[in-house]
Amino acid sequence: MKIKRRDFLKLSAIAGATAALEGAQSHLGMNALAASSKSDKKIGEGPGEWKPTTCQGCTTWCPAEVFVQDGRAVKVRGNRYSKQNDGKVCPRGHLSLQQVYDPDRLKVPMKRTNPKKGRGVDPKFVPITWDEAFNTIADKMMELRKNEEPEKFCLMRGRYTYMRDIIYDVLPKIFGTPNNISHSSTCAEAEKFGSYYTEGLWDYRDYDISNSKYILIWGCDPVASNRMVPATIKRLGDALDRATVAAVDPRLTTSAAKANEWLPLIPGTDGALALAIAHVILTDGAWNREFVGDFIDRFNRFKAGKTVNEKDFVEKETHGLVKWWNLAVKDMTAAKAAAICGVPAEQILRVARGLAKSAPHVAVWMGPGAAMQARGAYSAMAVHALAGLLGSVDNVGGSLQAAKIPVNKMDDDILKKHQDDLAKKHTKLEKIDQRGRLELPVLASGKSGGGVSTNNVPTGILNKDPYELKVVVGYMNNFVFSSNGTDRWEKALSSVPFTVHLTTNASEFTMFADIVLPCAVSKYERYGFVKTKANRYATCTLLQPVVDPIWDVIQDESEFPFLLAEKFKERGFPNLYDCLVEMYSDPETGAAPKDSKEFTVFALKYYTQPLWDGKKDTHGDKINGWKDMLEKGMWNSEAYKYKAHWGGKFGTVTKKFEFYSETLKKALTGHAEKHKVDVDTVMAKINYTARGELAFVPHHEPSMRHGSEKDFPLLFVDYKSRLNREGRSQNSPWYYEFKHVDPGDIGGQDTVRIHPADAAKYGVKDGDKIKLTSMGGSGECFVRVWEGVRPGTVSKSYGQGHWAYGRTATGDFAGSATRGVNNNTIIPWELERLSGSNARNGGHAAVRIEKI
Amino acid sequence: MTQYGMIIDLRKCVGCGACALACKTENNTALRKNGQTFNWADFIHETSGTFPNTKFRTMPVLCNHCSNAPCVEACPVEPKAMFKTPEGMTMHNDERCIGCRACQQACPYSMDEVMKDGASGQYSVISYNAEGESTQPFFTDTTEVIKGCSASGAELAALTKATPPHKTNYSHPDYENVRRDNIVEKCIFCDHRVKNGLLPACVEACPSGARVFGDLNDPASEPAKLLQKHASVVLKEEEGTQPNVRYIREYSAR
Amino acid sequence: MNNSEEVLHRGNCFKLLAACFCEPDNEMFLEEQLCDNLALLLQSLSPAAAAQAEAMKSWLQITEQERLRLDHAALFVGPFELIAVPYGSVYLENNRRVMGDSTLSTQRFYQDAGLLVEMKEPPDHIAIELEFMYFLCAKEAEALSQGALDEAMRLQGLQAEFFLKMMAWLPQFCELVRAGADTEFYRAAAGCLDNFYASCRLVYTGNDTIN
Repeated sequence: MKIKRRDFLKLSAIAGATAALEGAQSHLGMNALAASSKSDKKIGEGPGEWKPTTCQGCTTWCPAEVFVQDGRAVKVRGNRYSKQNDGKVCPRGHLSLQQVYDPDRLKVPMKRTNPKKGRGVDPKFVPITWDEAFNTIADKMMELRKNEEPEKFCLMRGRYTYMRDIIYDVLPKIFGTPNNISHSSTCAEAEKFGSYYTEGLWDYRDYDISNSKYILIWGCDPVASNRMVPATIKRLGDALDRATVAAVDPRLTTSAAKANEWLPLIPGTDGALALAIAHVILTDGAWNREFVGDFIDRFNRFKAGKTVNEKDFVEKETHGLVKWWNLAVKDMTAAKAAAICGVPAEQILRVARGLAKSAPHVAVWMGPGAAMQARGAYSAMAVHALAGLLGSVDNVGGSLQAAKIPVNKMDDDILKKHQDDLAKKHTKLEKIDQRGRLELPVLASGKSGGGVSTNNVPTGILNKDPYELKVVVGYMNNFVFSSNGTDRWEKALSSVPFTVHLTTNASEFTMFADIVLPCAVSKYERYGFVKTKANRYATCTLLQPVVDPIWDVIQDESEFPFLLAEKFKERGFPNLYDCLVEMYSDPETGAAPKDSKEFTVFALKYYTQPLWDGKKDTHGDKINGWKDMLEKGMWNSEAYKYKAHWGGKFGTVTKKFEFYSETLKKALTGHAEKHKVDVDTVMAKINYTARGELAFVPHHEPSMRHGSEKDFPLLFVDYKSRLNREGRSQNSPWYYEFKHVDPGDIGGQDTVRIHPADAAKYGVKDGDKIKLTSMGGSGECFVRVWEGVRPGTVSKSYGQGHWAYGRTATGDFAGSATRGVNNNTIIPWELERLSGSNARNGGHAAVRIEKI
Repeated sequence: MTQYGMIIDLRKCVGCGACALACKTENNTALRKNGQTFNWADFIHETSGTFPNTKFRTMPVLCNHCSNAPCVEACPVEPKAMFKTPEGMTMHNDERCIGCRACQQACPYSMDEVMKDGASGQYSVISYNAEGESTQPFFTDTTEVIKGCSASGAELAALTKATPPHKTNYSHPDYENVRRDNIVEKCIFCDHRVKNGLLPACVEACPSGARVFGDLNDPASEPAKLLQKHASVVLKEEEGTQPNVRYIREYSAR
Repeated sequence: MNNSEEVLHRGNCFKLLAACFCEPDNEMFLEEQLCDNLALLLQSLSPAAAAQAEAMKSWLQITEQERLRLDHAALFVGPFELIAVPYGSVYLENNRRVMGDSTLSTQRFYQDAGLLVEMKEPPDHIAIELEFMYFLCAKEAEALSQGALDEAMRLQGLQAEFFLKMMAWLPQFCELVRAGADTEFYRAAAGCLDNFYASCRLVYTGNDTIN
């Protein structure tokens, strides 16, 4: 070891500021040690920036941030300002990087060259220019107007942002069609039905679980899916320390695995279980008197099987408790319900008494499993009625409505101004989903035909009733995969002469399309905004292009209608263009948009303006102008005020929480009168068993079953994987790698879970490849023998079984071979007709399994 | 003496998978291949009891950064490619690694070949990048499922100038942000983050707050406080490896 | 003397002691007044060490360059079995290995401080470790003089950590030098280092006031 330089022997003085700033060590006169010169070996992250956007992997719609390095999206977290997710995302947030960087994304517009359509038929797509694509679409659509049949154009919407108005409302209404079909009834309309016909809320509820003393999770797994996933993940562990948690589900969910109580009921018996819990609470005299009221003399007359005189009870915030008791509750003892639902009577008693003891700070968390059943409307009401009985509606620790989000609405006057007579007349025609017909009431928000029945669209198309569809445009949707009864959709789409699909990948819907337009990936490459709520806060959060798209893609909701409007204008129909430019000029300068990209930004500015222009108190975050809005990426409301709807402010007919639903009575009577029949006839036509007054109260309906017990002995339980970004993450390899985070599931394969006793009965072993068959269809998957399944049922997560979408999702893309089987092929086509929903739970899907 | 470690609170954990996915996005780990998972963070699941009294739990797993690390002992390179840092992390130096896999064989938490996954209790802390093979074949593949219309992995990598295209770019003197062939790899507690005062990516990402990282020897640290408050367990205690990843509380309330 | 000067003072002691354990250059050491400076600096820190530094100067003046070189080689370089191995790992690890795990730990300290070893020597060589301590002290002094107190605290913590963790072998090493050296110069140097080490230990374990 040598001394290299004499300096090393000299004494050092304090270095001057300059030398120190340079960071060089030369002035220190070092010998063996030297500054490491390789700057790339500096420990830590390369330069990058966290940019705000919104994750649409599920309906939580999380405010998120994406870390961007060198123009690439590299990692994801929650938006730091969010009072819902506190800067965290669930696994879906991270998984989405494989969506934006999916090797199978479409990179150019393409057209079909094989006129023959059908599943497994190669469309023989070839690339075309954007100009050719839009010219073709505009020509096809203008032909409809020329023939005075614009109603034969249908716009189909899947997942969306609130920029949807442009493509979903303005475009069809100016063009002249009544047919804008959303996917809403695929999701949870029957669930909304439950809260609407009790408390007047046609929406999802927020649950105040930070303050709950008892959490009853019913028909969902809120740490895995549903609508406030990261917020619930954060709180469930603490809740278990503080509160009792019970989970009602035929399969062992994560919530059920962690909970104090698991109530694995027989599918489709939710109504009976809910009534039994109500029965215990009432006969125990344990209802919440502050909300519900009491007998005049405080003497409890609720005795099993005994009718009560309505006059003896005085209600406070509720309506029709005694009627409900007399009509539906009085005979549903815990013992009787136990026989129906397969949950022990003592457990029903224990849970009911636990709930009552913790009331009113109990969250009765109603999920789609309790509602999205062929006869699920009344079980949805029954489950939500428990919240009423316990006084937890709009209360601390209970179910909440949401604070208001002050954003602008589409300007109806401008819209009407640009509608020509043809449009005015034809937008009033009957819609292709036949909503509002006698056998399909779809009573959204109290109105006959008030909502959508997505899954009845194939009925309309196939029967050309009320008319045929000639041009279909679908965006961010894949109905032929996402709706049960896939065979009907396949036939229907094969019969449509001209279909356009706006998509990121060649999905199943794409395979029926004539023109395909590559689109931006939500969350990473587009503008938009959504409204969401959790943890008492309502939120408006923006989607922003955090990276430049790699391919030449368009933003479906804004650029498609704008570019199409330009083509319409060239063809002598300027109305759409004029309307769009007038409605969505820059709200700050009044400037008209120059192109589709600028149009998109102006539209977003228009809608969100009240949040950032500082003119009115938003009752939430202060945002200083448009730039600040883009930088923060979101707005939080003030915390929702408890009991906001107490004191006669519920949105029902009586303004009270209704156990006897005057609101439903009015809606059903209105529907019956429209068709000149009585309510009983309606009930018969829509597959419900209730007659008379029972139709107006939450009650138990026997479940429906497709297929005999002999041929199809097992009930099929469908659920949503916590890695499902709806149906869009199955082309991501990470999905398969970590699929085992769904309890009982196995990575890398599509798995159906079966109880050991049933496995023995039907001769299958763990790991066997089997054929799964129902009245709806069949397909192949693997068996997992597992104790977390109710005997007599099998459970399987939705998502796999694609025959298109990409190399990872399919068994073989070119051969349209599936990887696993789509649950929606197994679940036979069925509707919940009061809400128009797809029926997918409740055990109407009966199956058999055979070892291959 | 600093001893970095992690406490995993199973009561808070819901087994969602965010930690393991965040790790993949942070550390650009490859897709499963040749029985190697490349999951520096993973999960094992256990079902017990019979219906309706079924119990189920998920345990997140990662490198235990053992105080008595067999992988370090087994590393034949001088100086060792697998070694302990002064802060008690089990570190891997990519440059010195010769791909002999002795560490993988020695580690009681690793497997030569993972044929199943956490559903069967299988995982491997250490993964090996096969000699002479692309470590990111998904993004070197040139296949287009619809010729001329859809993209390919290779095209994506070329256009984004990164493999994988979502590569998080970071530097560390011991390990590369994307590994080469013929070396092993494993969790390094995100030293490139910890050195800059950040938490490991999995800890940062955990939506339940179940993962707590810090100096187990500092009585004032969060993990040390948790260890004082709760009894803890380690995986395969009988191996005597003295893991510094410890589990507290029960997954289920039943 | 203000804080930053005091820290620099200690740093310079580390630096000069590092030089003492490099290859000896009688003429240069004398010209640069190595031992004089060391004695001066040490007076306030460790009078015992200062006395040894005075002794070093005396012996340096009367010892031939060649004899110093031979003794240095026999003690620290080889080719025969070393009398006092100058590498930390040999003392810190059970199997007396050169380039052991502790060597890597030492290297990481350098890496983390943005330094690398430019010489073909294991990083836990006595002279390099002393030089590293000098570096940390000099940087702390800089930080103090600029009022960057957080940074100064950090550097002080690093010194303590490195000193206590990686340099605990010094007394053993000094004992071997003292017992095996052929020249009085190296015997005195070992005594000087040992005494300085003891005084620093008080500083870094908090048993004495720092600064």
